[in-house]
Amino acid sequence: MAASESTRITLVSNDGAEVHVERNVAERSMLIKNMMEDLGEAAMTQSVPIPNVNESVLKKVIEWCEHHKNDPPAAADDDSDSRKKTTDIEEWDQKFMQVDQEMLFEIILASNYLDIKPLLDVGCKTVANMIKGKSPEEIRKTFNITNDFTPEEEEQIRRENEWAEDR
Amino acid sequence: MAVPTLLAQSKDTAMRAAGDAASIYTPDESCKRFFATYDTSPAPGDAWRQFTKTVPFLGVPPEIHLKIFTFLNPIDAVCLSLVNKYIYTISPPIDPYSHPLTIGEPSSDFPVEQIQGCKHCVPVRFFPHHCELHYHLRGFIPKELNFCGALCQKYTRCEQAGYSDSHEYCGTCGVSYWRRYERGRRHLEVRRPGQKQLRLCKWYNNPKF
Repeated sequence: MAASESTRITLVSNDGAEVHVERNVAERSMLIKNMMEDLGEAAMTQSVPIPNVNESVLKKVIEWCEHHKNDPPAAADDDSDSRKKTTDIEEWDQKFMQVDQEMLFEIILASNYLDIKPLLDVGCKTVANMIKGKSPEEIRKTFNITNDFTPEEEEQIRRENEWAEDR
Repeated sequence: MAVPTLLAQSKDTAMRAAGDAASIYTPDESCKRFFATYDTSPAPGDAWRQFTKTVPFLGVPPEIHLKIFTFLNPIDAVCLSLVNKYIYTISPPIDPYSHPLTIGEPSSDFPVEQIQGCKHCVPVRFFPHHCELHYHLRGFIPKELNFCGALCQKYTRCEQAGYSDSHEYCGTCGVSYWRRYERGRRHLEVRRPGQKQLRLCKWYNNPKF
């Protein structure tokens, strides 16, 4: 077991960069773990392509995996309660997620693609915390979103929800 | 091997996935009714691809947005759903038919526990609880309308000129917009039975004294 943990594998990002990583770190990704199981020993001699993730994001994701490599695997349904608590992000994870929005959503996309559920949760919680307590206009400003509702559509939404009396 | 596909998720698949993940939101057939009158195009399944890197928030597939929704309380979820058409289309409804403005109030169907206050929060009667949805939607409602917390429970016009020039009274039920809370922020009992219809809980109205 100790020998397999120290085995390193090579991941190749979509921009051709090779990233060497311990196998047990890379296997935080269920995608890579399943791939390793399917390929067997062949995976140790060949590089593993990660076509949807670029080098900088891949290194960032691996940084997270290295820090959390000894975390116990989460049970299938233990997150039903923690889902509602958006502030319970570990301090290290909070600092890890202090990146610009483009990188934040790249990490979310990469964790979704690589099937790293705890990292995906941390990313989504970070975004949820950026939304909390804000009005629609403030959320638009935070994420640089354009309001494309026409006045008629806004009126329709107000009418559907009975938020305002009919004119 | 189960490889997650970001591309092939249709709206229905994404909604179902969110429904499985979150106990709060249970989108079903009634959701379609909710959005029936607001059928926007293009199809949400691929719509996220139209957004460029300038808007990273919109440049992710709908299942990510639906996952973010699961981490929000109902007030924040409604506010997020109103940011643009695309998000409105994919957002799971909290109530199948409408989003009442009293979401957040402890006696409503969707009480919201106040874990962390927001700038709209006021020290309401039920202290640890969050404020209500209508505070957050002020910017989404025309300025000439005010929230009537008495009988109407919606944004209404004030009394027409000639009756009152103060714009203080609801034009529908006639109760002052300010008379939602008395001093000390206790909620007014506007439907109190009896002829006198006492609305204010003044100390001299209290039979104890």
